Amino acid sequence: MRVLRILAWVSGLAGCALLLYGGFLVWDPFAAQRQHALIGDLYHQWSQPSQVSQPRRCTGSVPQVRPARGKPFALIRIPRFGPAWKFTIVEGATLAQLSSGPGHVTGTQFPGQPGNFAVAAHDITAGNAFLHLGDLRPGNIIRVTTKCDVYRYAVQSKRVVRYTDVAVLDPVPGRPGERPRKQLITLITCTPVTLAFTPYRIIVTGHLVGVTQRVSAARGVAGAAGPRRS
Amino acid sequence: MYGGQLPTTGFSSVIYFVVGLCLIVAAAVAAGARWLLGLFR
Repeated sequence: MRVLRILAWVSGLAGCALLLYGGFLVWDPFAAQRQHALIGDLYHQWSQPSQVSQPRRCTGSVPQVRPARGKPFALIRIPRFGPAWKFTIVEGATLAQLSSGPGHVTGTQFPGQPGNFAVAAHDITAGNAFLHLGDLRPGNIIRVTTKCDVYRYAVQSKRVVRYTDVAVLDPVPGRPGERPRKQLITLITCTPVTLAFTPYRIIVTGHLVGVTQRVSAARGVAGAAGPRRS
Repeated sequence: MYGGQLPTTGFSSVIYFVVGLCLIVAAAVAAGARWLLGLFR
C-alpha cells in the first residue's frame, strides 16, 4: 500500500512536470527575446563597415566569407503571415541553429546566387516560424533582406516529400549536376505538426522576381537602420 | 552534401508529452490499485 501510494505521487508529479515542460517548449516565451537579440546583432553587423561574415561593400549581397554557424546574415519576411512576421536567418540548419529560428541549409546557395537558397525552420517551438508554411499559395511573396539588398521571391510550388529527398536542395531541384540559371528559394519544415520525428517535409519553392537595394545600404552602411519595404 | 537528409524541423519535444501522459496514467493505475486493495482488505 505504501509503495503504491509513493508510486502514484511520484508518477503523477513527474508526469505533470513533463507536461508543463512540454507546454513551456511549445509556448517558448523567450523565443521573441532571442529573435530580438539576433535582429539587433544583425543590424549591428550591417552597421559595421567591414565584417568577416559579411560583404565588405554593397556591390552584391553574396557573402564573400561564409557566415559563421549560428550567426544571422539575413532577414526573412512573408507578408501573408502578417506584417509582424519577421525572423533572422542564421547559418546552418541543425537542431542547435534552428532553436533560434530559421536557418540556411549549409551547402545551398545564398540569396542573389544562381541556384537554390534553402531555409529550414521549425513548425512548432523556436517561435513557430514555419507553422503556417503549408498555407502559402503560388504568387505569395517571400522577402529576404541582406546587408545590401532586398530579394523578392514569388512562391511557385508546394509539395510534401520524404526527409531523404535531398534532391529538393539541388541548385536545380531534382536535377543534380545541372547548371543553375534561376535564383530560387526553398523553404522547409516538417509535416504534420503533431508528429515527432515525422519523415515528411513541406517544401515551398519560389523564384526571384525582384531585387532592390536596401535603403540603409544605399545611404551607406553607417546609417543602417532597417530594411526598406518594397 | 547535406548529410543525406533534410533538416529535422518537427516538434521533437512531443516526447515530453508522451512520457508525461504515461506517467500520469501510471499514477492513476497505482492509485486505483491502492484503492482496490483497500476494498478487499
